[in-house]
Amino acid sequence: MDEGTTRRGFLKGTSASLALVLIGCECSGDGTPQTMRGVAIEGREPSSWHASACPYCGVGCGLEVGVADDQVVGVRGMPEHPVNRGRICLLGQNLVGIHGTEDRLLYPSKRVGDRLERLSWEQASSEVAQRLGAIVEAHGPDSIAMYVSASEYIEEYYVYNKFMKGCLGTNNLESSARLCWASGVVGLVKAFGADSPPCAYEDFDHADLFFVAGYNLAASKPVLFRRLMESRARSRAALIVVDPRKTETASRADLHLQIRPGADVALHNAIAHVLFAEGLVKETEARAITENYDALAAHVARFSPAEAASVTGLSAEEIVRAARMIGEADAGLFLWGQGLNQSSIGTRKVTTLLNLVFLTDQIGRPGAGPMAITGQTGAMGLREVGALPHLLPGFRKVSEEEDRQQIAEIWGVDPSRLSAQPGKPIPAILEGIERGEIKALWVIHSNPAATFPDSHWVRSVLERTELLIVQDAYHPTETSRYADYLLPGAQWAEKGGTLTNSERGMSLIEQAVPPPGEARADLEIVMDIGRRMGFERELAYESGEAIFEEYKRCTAGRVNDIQGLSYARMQREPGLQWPIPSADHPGTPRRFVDRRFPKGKVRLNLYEHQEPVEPPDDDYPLVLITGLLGMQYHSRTRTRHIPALARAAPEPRLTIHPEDAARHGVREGAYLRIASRRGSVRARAVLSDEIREGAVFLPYHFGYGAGEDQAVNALTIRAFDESAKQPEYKACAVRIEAAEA
Amino acid sequence: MPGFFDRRGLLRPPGAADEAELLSTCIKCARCVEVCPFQAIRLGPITAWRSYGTPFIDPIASPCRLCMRCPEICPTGALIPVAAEAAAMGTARLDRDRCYSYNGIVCNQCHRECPLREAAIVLDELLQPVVIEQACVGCGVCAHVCPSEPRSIEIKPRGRR
Repeated sequence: MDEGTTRRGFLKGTSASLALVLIGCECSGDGTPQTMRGVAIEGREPSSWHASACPYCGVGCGLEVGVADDQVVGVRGMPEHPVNRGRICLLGQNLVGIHGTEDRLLYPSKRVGDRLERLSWEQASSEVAQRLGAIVEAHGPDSIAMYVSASEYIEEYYVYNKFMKGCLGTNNLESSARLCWASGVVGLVKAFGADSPPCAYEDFDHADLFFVAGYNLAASKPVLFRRLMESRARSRAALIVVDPRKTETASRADLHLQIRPGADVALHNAIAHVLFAEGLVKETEARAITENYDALAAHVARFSPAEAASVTGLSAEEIVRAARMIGEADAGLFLWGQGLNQSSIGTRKVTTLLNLVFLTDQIGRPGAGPMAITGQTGAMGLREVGALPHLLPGFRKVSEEEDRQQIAEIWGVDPSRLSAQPGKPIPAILEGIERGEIKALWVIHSNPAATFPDSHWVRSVLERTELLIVQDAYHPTETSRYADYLLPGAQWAEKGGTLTNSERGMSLIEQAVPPPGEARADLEIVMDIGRRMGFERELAYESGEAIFEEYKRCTAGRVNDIQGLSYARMQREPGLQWPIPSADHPGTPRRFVDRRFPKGKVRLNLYEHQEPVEPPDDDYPLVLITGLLGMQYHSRTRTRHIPALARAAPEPRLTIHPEDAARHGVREGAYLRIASRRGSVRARAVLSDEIREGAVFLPYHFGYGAGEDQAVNALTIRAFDESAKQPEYKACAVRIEAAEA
Repeated sequence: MPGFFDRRGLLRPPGAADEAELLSTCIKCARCVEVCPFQAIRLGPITAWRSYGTPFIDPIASPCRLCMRCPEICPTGALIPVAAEAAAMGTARLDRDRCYSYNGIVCNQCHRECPLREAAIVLDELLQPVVIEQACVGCGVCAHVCPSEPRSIEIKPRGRR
């Protein structure tokens, strides 16, 4: 047996303590002369460099991966990539350390009693295929669900989609994008009539106003924020930041609206009110593009800044100032994040923000419009490919007969195989398991036992799942501990494919190193099992490129037409933005320049404020806001292994206002027990006036794998946006139960 | 580890009296060591010569978080209660040639974690960190969290030049 398949052999090539050294690369950046550096393991000179993109957030920075002896030993920003021009962030730079960890899943196994029994791939694939087949036979295809990471490649989503919808005949294909951008996307669809982020990052250079709501860009999108700030340094554009916390992003603002948590709809309505009252609406243009201008004007007439002051926790003066800055901007970019999306009224928050975009005609020209920058690399691609319970490739819908017929033809399956019934989003999948309707759940590179709200409940559901298949690169994770079958999947650099970033730019990631041990590319795993279930013809792709070419056919004539794109073209010109309808088409930086919208006009949305589902009360008097830290990612399956990242976040720390701390007798650094109605967490106190009195902040990265009392989502609530079903991570009620000195 | 020939001086806990006063006042009782919730305070070994048994902080291992429990518990006045902004432990020094944010890797952990963020460390308009020496108290959190190896930001203790 060669060294690669033994853990010792595998780890031998990776130094136990990665000493990273800066390596030089003189690049011009974007006009700013600067030495762009990357990192490499000391003493391991890369023998080859491979084109890639970062697997973390949805900005889509181009990277180059340095390889020696079939291992990733270096990483640097890709100098000429249009998104980042050689720059990377701390997470991207530390990709060097994620592959050779002790907890890499290297071979398939099966749970037998309390033990894990190692299986060969032959055994694992045929057993999983047999068990899934038996469940479909006994209970129908809707008793199966698949929940996949929002960081997968387009080719992978295409295969998962075809397997579930075109082969098994169920629409229960869901992704973790539900937890991140569902409200944002539903909001875009309700407003624009279709999902199509209209702007480009180069719009930063043309904006004279940035409105950033519920979004800590400095921590979540460092490279993009740096790019925004460089544009701003040149243009002196204004920056408004709306956030209950004085984050690093807020501290850069010309105007920081330190809003009461959850009150964004009231703020947006009040701003709209001022725009109308002070004649700052672009009436002619707005009437031309919107359907229901007068209805909105009437609706916001009663939301004056003075009335909005108490619910928003802001002064009328601040609201008026923000409205004037928006109304007077020539070109305004509107960026928002989880502060808007992760709410039981997320869709309301997003659509009322988009009202402001339309009222001031900030669309279809340089520097103007809304930007939907996702937290994961695959979150745009999976929407394009339709890897969601209600979609089919090319932004088609399972509920439309013509859409099913078009896709069935390309997939080579009988249209009757495709179900018209939209599948279940993840909240309903987990409830379906609890009720016994769903018997099998196949989780791919995701960790709902750490990231879904109400962790105790999630764990009880996963425990009782009849067949839980976990396909991942790591074990144990909070979720993989419950698996009946563990399947080792490859991760970034070990598999190749296509990604679409948040400005619709498409890049090809090369496979740079072989997967370790017996890990395999994820689409190979799914296709193998699917073929064993009888779908040999449907899942017989020779290569990722073959999958991509078939997927392209699904986009002909659609919003995301990429007939003009190919692997070869992506290699020559990374980052081209769809639609790219022909081979000589240069790509589309900006949408709606012709001011023709998917449904003719755009829609203004009329909503009112509503409190979070669980507001603070006498028993639980504090509002818990959960959010990210800049140097960790999601449930830390990768980033906890990197000492340089972990030392700034060794444990959950609770940010609490000094006044609240004093009331509870809490000192800096004291350990506290924080409880909600659903669970409790032990965390260290950090006193800071960056947070509003009455609110506290915990980083969501910690699951019970860090300790039974360390799972931040044990506190959060299963409350969801009414349309988008995205969880309300940004508001639930907690109290401090105990404080150690 | 501090040594006899160490010319930089020890990073003392917050509120420390000046060196001469501290060395004559500290009774090496270690209460400051015990009370620190971050286990940041250590006692000088024999190689620290006159500082043997007196408290110091190694921020790479565990920085001070300015909670101020140690001056409150010091029985002799070797450590005197002061406001966090007056802790006067030392000053952070940033090496721009090594600092990631000045070299194409957008980092800013020091700014994010600084207990006196926006006073002691600020970001310039290109999001590059700048230490404001008058406001920096030298707690060492920045040196602890800095991800580069060796660190790009270090604490110069207030002691000898």
